Amino acid sequence: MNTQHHRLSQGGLIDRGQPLTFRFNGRKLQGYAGDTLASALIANGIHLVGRSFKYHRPRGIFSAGAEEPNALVQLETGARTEPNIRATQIELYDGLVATSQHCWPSVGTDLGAINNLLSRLLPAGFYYKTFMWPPSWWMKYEHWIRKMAGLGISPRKPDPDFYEHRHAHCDVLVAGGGPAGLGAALAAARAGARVILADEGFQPGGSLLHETAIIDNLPATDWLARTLAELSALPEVLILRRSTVCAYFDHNYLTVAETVSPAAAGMPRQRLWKIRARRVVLATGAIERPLVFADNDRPGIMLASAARIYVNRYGVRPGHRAVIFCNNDSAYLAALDLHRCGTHVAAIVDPRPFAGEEIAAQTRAAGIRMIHGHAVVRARGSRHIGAVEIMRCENGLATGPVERVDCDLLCVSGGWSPVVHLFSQSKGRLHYDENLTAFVPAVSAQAEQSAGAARGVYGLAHCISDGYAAGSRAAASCGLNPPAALARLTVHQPAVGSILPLWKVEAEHTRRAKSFIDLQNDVTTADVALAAREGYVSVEHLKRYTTLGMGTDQGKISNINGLAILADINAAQIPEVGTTTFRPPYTPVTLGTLAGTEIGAHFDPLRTSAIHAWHEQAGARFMNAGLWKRPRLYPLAGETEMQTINRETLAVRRTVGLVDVSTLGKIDIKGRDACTFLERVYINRWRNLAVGKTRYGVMLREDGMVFDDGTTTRIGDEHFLMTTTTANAVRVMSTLEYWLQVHWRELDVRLTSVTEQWAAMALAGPGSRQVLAAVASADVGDAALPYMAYLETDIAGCPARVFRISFSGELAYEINVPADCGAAVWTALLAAGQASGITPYGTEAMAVLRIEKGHVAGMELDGRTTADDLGLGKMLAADKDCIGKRSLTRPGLAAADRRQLVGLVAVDGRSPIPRGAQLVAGNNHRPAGPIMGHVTSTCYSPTLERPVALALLSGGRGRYGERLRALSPLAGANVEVEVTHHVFYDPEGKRLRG
Amino acid sequence: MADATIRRSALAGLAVPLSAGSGAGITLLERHPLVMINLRGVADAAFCDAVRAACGAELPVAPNTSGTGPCGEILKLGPDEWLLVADAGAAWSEKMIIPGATLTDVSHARVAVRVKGAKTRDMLAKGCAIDLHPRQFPPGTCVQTAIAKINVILHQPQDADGFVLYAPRSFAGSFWHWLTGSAAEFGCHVIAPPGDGSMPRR
Repeated sequence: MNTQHHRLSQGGLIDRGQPLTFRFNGRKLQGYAGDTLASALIANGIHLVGRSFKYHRPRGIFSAGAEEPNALVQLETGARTEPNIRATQIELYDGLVATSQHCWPSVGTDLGAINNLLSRLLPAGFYYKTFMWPPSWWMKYEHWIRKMAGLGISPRKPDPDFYEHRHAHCDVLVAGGGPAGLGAALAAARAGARVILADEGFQPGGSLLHETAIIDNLPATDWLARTLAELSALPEVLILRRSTVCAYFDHNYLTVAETVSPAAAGMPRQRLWKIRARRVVLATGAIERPLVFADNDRPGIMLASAARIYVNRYGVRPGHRAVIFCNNDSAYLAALDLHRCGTHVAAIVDPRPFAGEEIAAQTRAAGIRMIHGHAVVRARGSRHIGAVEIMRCENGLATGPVERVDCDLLCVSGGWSPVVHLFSQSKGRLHYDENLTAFVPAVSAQAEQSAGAARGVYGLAHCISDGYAAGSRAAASCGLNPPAALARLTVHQPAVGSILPLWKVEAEHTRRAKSFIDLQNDVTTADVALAAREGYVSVEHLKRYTTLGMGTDQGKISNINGLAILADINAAQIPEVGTTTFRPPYTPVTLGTLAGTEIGAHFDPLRTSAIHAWHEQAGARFMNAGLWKRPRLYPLAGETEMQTINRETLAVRRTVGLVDVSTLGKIDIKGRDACTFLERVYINRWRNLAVGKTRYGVMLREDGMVFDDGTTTRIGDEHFLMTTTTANAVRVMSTLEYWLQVHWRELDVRLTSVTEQWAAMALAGPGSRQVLAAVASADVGDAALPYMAYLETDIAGCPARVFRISFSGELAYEINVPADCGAAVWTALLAAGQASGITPYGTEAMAVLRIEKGHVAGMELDGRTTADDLGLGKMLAADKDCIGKRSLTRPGLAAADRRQLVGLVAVDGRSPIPRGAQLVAGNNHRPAGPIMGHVTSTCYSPTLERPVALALLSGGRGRYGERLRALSPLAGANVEVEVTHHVFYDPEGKRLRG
Repeated sequence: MADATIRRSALAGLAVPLSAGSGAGITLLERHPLVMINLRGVADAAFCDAVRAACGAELPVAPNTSGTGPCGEILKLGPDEWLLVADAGAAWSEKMIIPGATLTDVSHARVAVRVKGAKTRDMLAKGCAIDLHPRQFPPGTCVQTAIAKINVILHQPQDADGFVLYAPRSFAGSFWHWLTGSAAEFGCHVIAPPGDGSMPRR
């Protein structure tokens, strides 16, 4: 059944052969392909689509584009639901489901409308004034205010769709595919430029889609089709439809949000184009302004241009009996179009003494009544307009008798505002044009130019040729030969002339009614006056105080009226008042589009070692170390994590374990001055390191604090391999490059990061030598490979570097093999160690082993500790300089009360010592300040069978045996601890030399 | 350094052959095993001669360019840094004698994937901010950039048959995910290297 009683029998760019069914507020309705949701609703006679933000007043479809303040709907349901979508821009599709927002139980009967009756209690700044006191109630207020405020509802389910980003580069980006934009694209493309033309509509063309004008003997739509065909045929032209240029950043970098159509599996729902353009042409058009009078928000009131669009482009009749209220000629075209489609135009109400000659003649010929020197002072009706009140009007003041004219459609036009949003975002400066009563672009800040209505040039022929000229200039400034001049266009369109500023209409008898400036935020003339009385005279303050220009439409139709009214109150000129700051995005962009594919598990890329697949198969639990995934532990069935950690730790202490340490940074250092370089980088001595030997090194920041530590091996006379901590791998590499490239140009040293080249694993435990010997081709006995020595050998057929170093405190070897061989060598070692009970261990056991052994790690190297604080002061070579050494002479770094590394044991032998606990005096009941230190690393030691910890304690090395409290309010713990030396296990180091 | 008995690519198990039918807009082809050697030195005339003599290829000196020879390619990475790339078994090695040069074997440090097909530029543009238009990025161009937050060397070989992307080995999984995810809408065809990523010792 066709429900479209307001559909014209012919005309428009809709396909009557393709009916579409959709649901609005549960009602099953019909529209056609080519409709927007708004045009389909009007075809079904539906204007009332929502309730207003504050007063819950009935609101209708007000515009036909991006500026729509009222007709915001909740689109779809469930996971795909989207709030606050402009019905005027939704391309209708079969099965579409939309509902009204911000009303309960329904848009027709909305209980929130009580706010309208209470409106005298809800002035501007109501919230600020009312909910200030008492402060402790803020959270309660906020809960309810949040419930009351807002428009649509965010989806609660995971988004089933995906979004993508796309980079693009071009010579000329044209924003807007209307007459000026097409002209610009045509000129630039003919010159051979790489052109991107982005248009927000599902059909490019802008006003050409609804203009009745004839261009070069062609209907406007045919001229449009011809132009698009020419552009599409050029290989260097990209036309983006459904694509809003939403932001203009520095360096001509702009982003465009594209809705992908048709929606299909495997395709993103939206794309965010990141475009870098050599030149930009802003052909963003102009938006019509409403007029401000009493009850000017009733459904059935719409912009005159919108009425034209609904009639001409969509073939729908927005009303049967229309009144036009305007202060300029362009709205007369709406009257003529409405008249042509059979709507009775009851009157044109115009405060000007007369209209343009040509347009007036046409109007008169159509028999339409023109009421000059008058204004509409009030709209009657509630859920739909029923009539208007007309009075004589001069300078906005209405006087004399009231004439009532019945109507179901009121078309308003207060003039046009060029869409200067992108221009302003580009930091261009605006100028107020008195003749146009509008802000227009004046001084560019970037390589852009505005064209057509976006800079106040009106009329089809002017817009096309203005755009063509802009496109030619843009191409020329890209170094291209400009295209042939545009053949003179013949356009049949009545000229539109002057405008009379009319910012608001006031009549004595409508003083208590509401005259809305901002329809979306329910800001009235009274609110602006109140704000001004209370001192909010800056336009930015006005915005924050009254919410004028906020919300999803950001005041696209309301801002100019608002600031003109503010200027009037302040007796200032409009340019003095200025505009609020235009910020991206031009229209709302969904967060998914901004996030793109960087979501969930793919928010960041992951780094995995060459042995990762084995870890996964072994059931490892992983931890994040920067971007790395590292195995934490390898639990056996039925084990608690604690049991796993203890088992893995004890395996290393008693038999043998294997851990993946591929994440450690590795830097290959070569050159004649490699040794000198290390002397300068590390605090300790390197000159006396023999080839084939390894040494532990500590490097400082320039401020004397420890930067990083690790072992470095002399592989050849002029060849070293440095290792760094996992966390600092990149930072150490770039710092060393910095010193070489900036300060130490005289050194012959070249660095290459080889972190990725080598898979690294540590074989640790009393049985490690036996396992290694089984797979290594070289002799790895104690004589051939003593503690802190290095050799090269084949392991399981792979060339390997073996370092006899130990982080665990046991006899241990670190083995590096080329990464492609990492997995093979790892499994070969496991196979060789099977008889000895080899146990793979993770970072948890590794941490326990190093805490037991008192080795420092990231928690101790926190950027506030010196080498001496960490018990490494003796490493500092006295007879050479190094980075950071001079800073160590600062008195504060030698103070006796500096926090020094100590060990802690729980006195009761069982209470865990929380990491981050503060060390204080006192007792179980009354811990007493001051804070003397803090716990840095902590674990249960299965070797010592008690909790132990490392801590930094003021004057710690002189306090062994002292009892303190480790206090952690966060963990709810207060543990008695005894201060000990930080090496708990094998302090003589017999085991690692074994 | 000699090749190991078994070299297992970081993409083994990921870059497995996949046919997208005849309509594939993208073909992914892993290059493995490769010899890759980091070369550092001061690009004076003597050094360029030495490199030419040892490698049989011109040392690229201009920024973001590459050189090619019978053995393989030389990618310019920085004012004094290059990457030599050749198929495994080529004569290039860390042990080459080039006066003034520092050579370091990094054969295992990166994975390399050739991306080709009609939609290559569209696909790369999903993550690559570099302008890949033929006028801006002619054959031989080599840049270092970030794709999906991963440091990538992006090279268009002289044969202009697509692009070769080199990503750090540890990122291989995420990199492959990005490649296949970005290629999906165009139809993605995967050709694995010979021997499914593993290769016996030569």
